Amino acid sequence: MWIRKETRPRHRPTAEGGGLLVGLLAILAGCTAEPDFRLNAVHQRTIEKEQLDGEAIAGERINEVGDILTALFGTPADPVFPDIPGLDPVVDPGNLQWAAGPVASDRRGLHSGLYREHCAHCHGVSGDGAGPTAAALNPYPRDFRLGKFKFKSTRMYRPPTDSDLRRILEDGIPGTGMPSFRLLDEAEQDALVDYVKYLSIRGMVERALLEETARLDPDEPLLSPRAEDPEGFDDRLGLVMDEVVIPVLEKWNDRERNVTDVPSLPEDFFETRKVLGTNGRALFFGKANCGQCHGPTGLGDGQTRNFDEWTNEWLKRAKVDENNPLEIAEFVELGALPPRRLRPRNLAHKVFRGGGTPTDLYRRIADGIEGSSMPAASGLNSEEVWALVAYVLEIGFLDMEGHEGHDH
Amino acid sequence: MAVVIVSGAAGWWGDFENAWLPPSIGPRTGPIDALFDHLHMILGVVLVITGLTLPWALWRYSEKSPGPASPRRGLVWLELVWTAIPAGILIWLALAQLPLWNRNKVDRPIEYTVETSGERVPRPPLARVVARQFEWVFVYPGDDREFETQDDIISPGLLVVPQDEEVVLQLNSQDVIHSFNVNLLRLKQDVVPGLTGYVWFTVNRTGTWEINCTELCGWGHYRMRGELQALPREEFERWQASVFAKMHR
Repeated sequence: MWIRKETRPRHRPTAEGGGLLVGLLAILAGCTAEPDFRLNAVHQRTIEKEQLDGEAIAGERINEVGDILTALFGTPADPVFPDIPGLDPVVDPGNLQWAAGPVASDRRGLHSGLYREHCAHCHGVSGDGAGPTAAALNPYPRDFRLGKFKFKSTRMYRPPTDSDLRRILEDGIPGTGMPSFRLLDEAEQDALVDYVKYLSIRGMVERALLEETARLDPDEPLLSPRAEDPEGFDDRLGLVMDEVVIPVLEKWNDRERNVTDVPSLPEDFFETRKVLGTNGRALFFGKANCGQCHGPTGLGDGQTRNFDEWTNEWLKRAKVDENNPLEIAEFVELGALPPRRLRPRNLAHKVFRGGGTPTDLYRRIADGIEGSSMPAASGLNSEEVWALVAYVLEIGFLDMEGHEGHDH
Repeated sequence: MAVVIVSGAAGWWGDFENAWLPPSIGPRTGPIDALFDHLHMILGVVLVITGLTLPWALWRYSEKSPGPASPRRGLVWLELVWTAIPAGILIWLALAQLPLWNRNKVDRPIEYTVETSGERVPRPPLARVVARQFEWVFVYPGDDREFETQDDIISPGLLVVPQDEEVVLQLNSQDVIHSFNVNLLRLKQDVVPGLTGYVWFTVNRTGTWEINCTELCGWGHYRMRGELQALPREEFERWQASVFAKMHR
């Protein structure tokens, strides 16, 4: 061992060092800064283009929308929920508080901030389906703010029941990025279900308020001042309640009533499936016209020009030219995800997002899939729907072996 | 030394059982633990030697010490010794653990041997483990013992196995590299997209334990967990039937 003695300049903090320190502090601050709900700027721009010839809604009006939303729904760390006498309490306030806020756990290992721990990475703090991971996923994560959900037991255009949402958490959605959250305990799942409903309702109210704003004269305050005190925020909040919030909440009221009845599976369904499937095949290409989208062989290679309703909501309403990247970019910059065309399901893969049991398939066929191009089969009776279910199950059976080029 | 201190401290706090290797739920973990113990002992000796030499050298050759150190070069015998000893240890370890490696990673259990040809038919997998960001999905082949058929049984997040039977699992990934890990079975195997891997193990008690992913697989790696449950054979079959019924109504 040998030691060389050297005279080295004494270390002095440099400008770069100081800058680095400031940068690190800024990152730390960024990590701890409490996020806020993001304004639905895509919807704002859409209605500006649709109803105001592209003219911007005044900043004060937008601020007013923000104030009203905060007064009604609180913040991501401190959510509140409007309590309307005579309507179902759609969410439990305790659950909301539990699911909201920053991620933490106490000495007993009880977690809080569940939404940000488990969901926000994909679905975003505002429930806009545009979290940090969203752009990398196909299909994109669900944007809750439209109040549309695909896989549920209720009729088209009706919100899902709690058990529908619970089931998605329990099983995940095969074929998508949505994993199962089976390992969370029931109470945690319930809290997340409530928080998803909260974000959905908040998003629906936000959209309604923005649309309302577009109908006003530029200097008219939000909602015509019919109250005694036109300046009184609380009075106008009462009007917002009546005209915007209650109609939204009414949709979520008494959801169980809108659950479609699925006639119980025919006793001999599995024994007679092949015969049933032959009838189903005739329906598939005939009366029900499934082949138009799902293709002549059910491989999902029919028409693929459509977008889903979450995309159409801005793409079509704002009359964006889908072939013009600049027009698309304007909305992407505001927070929309680049549009992708719907792909009709390849039925041979047998990966059914809404569940693969005969009952699940019955619902998908009879009620359609809200938000996608899959319509409700209103003209079919239950026997015909069961026949289609049998055929759909048969397709997977027949083609998985013989057909080349599938993904497995 | 650190290990000794840590385990001693844990013992002091009355948690001595968990201070060393985790408990075992399978009959075949003993040799693996023995290998760990050997490694710990060898490394413990190295740790003590280096841990003492370094502070001694710092003290001995500090500026206050009398006179400069005398460099020695070209001590071939010394360099040979300190190369040969670790090399010998490593080669010995590599050879000594080979039977253990083969038992756990190479020699998949044999279901039966064809008498006429002597062909050894490997045990078919009890279930397929489908790893994806960020969950484990377990698919049982059902009565026809073939995957991707109508009677497959799909169980997200919950792997149920019969107790006291050596079961084989088939590992597949849908996206990136994951790693199937059950600490209590000393079982760990990468799940590589495009490759099919197999693991085999026996659980010799009933209960529910954790499966986790031990390959950083993305932002949600921390939440990629599953449950392993072992049940007596009849209960296992009842469970399979109940999931099957749930999937066919």
